Amino acid sequence: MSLRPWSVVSHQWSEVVKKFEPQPLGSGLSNADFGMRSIRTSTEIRNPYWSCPLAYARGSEFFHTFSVLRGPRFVIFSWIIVLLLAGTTYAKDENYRFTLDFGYRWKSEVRGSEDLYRSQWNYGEGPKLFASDLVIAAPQGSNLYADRFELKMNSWGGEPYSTGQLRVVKAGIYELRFDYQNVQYFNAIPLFANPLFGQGNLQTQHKYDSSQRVSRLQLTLLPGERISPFFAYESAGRQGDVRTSLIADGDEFLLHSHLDTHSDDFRFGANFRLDKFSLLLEQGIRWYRDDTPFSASGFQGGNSSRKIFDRDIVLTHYFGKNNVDATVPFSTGVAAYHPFDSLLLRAKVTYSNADLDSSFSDQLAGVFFSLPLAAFYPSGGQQTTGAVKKPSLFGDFSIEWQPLENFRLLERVNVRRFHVAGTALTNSTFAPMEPLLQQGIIDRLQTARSFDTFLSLDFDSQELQGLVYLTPKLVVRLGHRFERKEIEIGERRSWDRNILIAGAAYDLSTRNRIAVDYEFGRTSEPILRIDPVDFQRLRLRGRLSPLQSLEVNGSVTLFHNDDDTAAIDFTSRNRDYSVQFNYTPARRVSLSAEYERSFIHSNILFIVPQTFLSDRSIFRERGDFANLFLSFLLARGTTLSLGYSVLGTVGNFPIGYHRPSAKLDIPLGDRFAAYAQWNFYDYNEKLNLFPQDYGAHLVIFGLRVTLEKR
Amino acid sequence: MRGRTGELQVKRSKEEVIRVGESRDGWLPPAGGKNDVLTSSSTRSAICSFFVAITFFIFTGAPRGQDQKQPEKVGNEICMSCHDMEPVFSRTAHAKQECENCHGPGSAHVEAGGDLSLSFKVKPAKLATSQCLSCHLQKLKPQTWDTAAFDRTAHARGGISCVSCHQIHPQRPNFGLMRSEERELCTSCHASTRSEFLKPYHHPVMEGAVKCTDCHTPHGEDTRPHRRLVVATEEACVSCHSDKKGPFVFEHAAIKINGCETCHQPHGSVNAKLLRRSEVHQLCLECHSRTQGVTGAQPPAFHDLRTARFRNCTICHREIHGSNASPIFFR
Repeated sequence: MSLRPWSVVSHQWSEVVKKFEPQPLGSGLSNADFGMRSIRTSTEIRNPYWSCPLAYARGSEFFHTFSVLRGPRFVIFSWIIVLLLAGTTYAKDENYRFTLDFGYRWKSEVRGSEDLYRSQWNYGEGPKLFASDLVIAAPQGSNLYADRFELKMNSWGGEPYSTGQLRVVKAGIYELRFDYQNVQYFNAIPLFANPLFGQGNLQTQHKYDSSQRVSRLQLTLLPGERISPFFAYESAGRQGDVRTSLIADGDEFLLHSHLDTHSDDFRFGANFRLDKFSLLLEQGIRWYRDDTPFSASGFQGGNSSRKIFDRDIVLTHYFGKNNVDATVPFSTGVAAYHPFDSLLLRAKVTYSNADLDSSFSDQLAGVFFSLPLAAFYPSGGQQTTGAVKKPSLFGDFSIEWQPLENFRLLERVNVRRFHVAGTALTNSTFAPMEPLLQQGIIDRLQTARSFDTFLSLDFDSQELQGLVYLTPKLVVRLGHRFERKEIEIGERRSWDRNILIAGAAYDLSTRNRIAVDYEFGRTSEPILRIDPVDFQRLRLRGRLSPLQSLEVNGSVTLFHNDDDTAAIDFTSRNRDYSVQFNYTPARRVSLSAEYERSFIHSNILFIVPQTFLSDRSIFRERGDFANLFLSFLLARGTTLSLGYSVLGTVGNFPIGYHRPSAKLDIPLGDRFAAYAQWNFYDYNEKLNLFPQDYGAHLVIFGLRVTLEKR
Repeated sequence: MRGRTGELQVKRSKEEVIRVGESRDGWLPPAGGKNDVLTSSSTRSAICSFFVAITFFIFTGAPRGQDQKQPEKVGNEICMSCHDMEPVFSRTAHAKQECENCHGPGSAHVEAGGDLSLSFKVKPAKLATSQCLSCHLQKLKPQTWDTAAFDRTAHARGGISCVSCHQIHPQRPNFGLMRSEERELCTSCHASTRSEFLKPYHHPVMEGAVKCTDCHTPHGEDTRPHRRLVVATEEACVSCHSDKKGPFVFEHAAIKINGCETCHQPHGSVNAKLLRRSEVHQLCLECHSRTQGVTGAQPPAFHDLRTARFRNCTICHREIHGSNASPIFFR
């Protein structure tokens, strides 16, 4: 079954709604009648934090005020400003660099699972703007509006990922930054839990075809060296078609949904700079909304084919809707004090207090069976109203002190607190009831349940490190970090962790250096079963350039964890080795190669739900990754590049994955270059009963334009 | 009596040390345990020797360059007589500075006929960084972009200086004085991370849609490892995945306690949805197995893993990141 257009679904549903008039749920009841007023009061009592005045500005009113600048209109509005600014940056003696890379991509027919290809890559066919950069740098003060203009665009024209970045600066006046990101998120991975999977039905029960757009705009004023105020706006939204699942008394059904979430952030503040003291103050507010509807129409037999008392459980109609409205005011202060060359004090505090109101209501029709009531019912529904508060505090304080020329002390304290206090009232209706045992006694059942939830987390850490410069280029360090985490969720749990920190770095030059980090930690007891308890972490990283034409990078990362608590017995071994070469033996040839081998090995006890007996959960993965890239400079500046990357894993989920590529780049004068590129994506699952393999060829013919004045 | 008492006290204190180790509440690992290498006498001797050597270096290390003749400033004109600056450099804010404000007095360099002593390429990272921070230390920026915390980062400790990533004298107009594209620059050292981004499921960093600095703070850190916090003290993930931010009436506690990485591998994975395990039920049950004193509820017995329906937990528990309507994340 493919996703149907939302308009069709909504039309069908509107027809359904007319035919199937839903039973009024909690009709005539307001939030106050559900007891929300008293519940909210109890929530507030539990969180006696200071709240900023903006917290009282409810999102819904402000949200709609700025709605004219949301989404595509915001982007168009911003790009008009961008073009105006670019035009005004012109000056006679400016430097500029402009590149434009565009072309056409052909995609072969995907061999195998197109859904999986789209879930992993989703590159399509058609004309594309692959990349474009524009940098204009004018002498400071030479024109009225801007000295520097930077614009970068990447992957436009129906690409899965489109981005744009802009920075405009007028020295001493302002700096404007704008980022835009549009991610087309497609995910339709066949789920082995599909009950018909064994019969070859590879349809997934969860499918996303949505777009996620994020726009960020920040204007910083630069009136002088001492103060720089800033204003920022960020808009993030996710919209698109979704297929998801509904669980309704013992069976699961497919639902269609049109995801609709959006958040808007406003921030403003100022940076104050004195000779030895700097201060940043920021105040902001975030509004978040979720208006996602869910629906299903038409007969569905559900995941389970099992009959209950000779009757099939079926769904004929469903409609549900989220209404979430959240307001999150937040305040940040950062201060740095540098009284002497040898001493630096820094503090950062952020406080926020999220406040969320939600409601969810749904109606369903079909044939359902309630096990607790031992009754069939043909229709039902649920209405839930909820409220949550989450005061949150983050603090970070550090001292850097260099009492001696070759000795430095770093002290750092980190504090994090948050509480989540929520409350909800659920009102459910089942009607008309068809009890198995008490025929005719109950016609309609309405139940109301209230929930109070509370989760708190207190996290503190304190770290002291001493650094000794044995030589100007060799530093060793040793330190200790203490961490304490305390949570309350129903009951209070905590752990203390002591970590020994050691490391060394040898920095011969920017092209030759090696660094090693080591941590050895013990935790008093786990809060989650997979928490590191008795662990060691090692990271060795080096860069060596024995020849001007050769550069070698390498790294080794190890993480070992053991927890021998009786019912857990958790062992985890993660290792990663990688090496990378960049070699240019001659002017016309360059070679780049990398190889990585990684191991993940985890072994932990778990309890099998259906038997309550202990068993072992073992996960092994060994991955080998290699990448080779060769580039030849042929006659008249023509470049031929050949690449090949391969990934193979063995263990619980073995796959093979390889991507050969080739590119021919032909210069057409100083300013133009034409190119042809071929990529092949080949993915193989080795153990899956119905492997979701695919292969796809992509061919690009493109033209690159470079205009430059240095 | 005193002697005996003293012996008893020593003995008792030894017993206490062993008990603390065995109870796993303290710092010392259990005797004979997997990590007892740190408590063996030879290791203790090595550690003591290390501390003695370090202390010796701290207090006897000769101040560097004390005996050398202090060089003097020569002025920009002298510098420019040998060094041609690209015109594009004059368009950057650094062009307002005298050469010697950053590179130091140049008389010795001139007398030596132009040696490399003033080049930041061969200076120790700490010295190069200090020079930049002498101006940039004061520039606090929101969302942890301030450089005041740079010296305590893993970058600084690992010998990375500002000029490792930034090109102060650009050859051509570039973005943020970066030496190259951000993704290329970061992965030139973080090679294993680069290979993670080339796995079948990955965040689109190499495709250019997401930048390393969207999630990490190379100049300063709030949390390890260089993790960026976004507004309201939340981690960077929810900056894009705003629908997972909440708060929710019914929170999935694991996310709040240990973050998104409890279940996901953020850079890349061979498992769908960047999960840490290839099968969802394996991932869930590693936490959700009833254990005394540990958070994580046990699924009821009707969750028969032999049936395909129950092996993908998120089919029913679809709102697994948090829900406002269902305590067990159904709606």
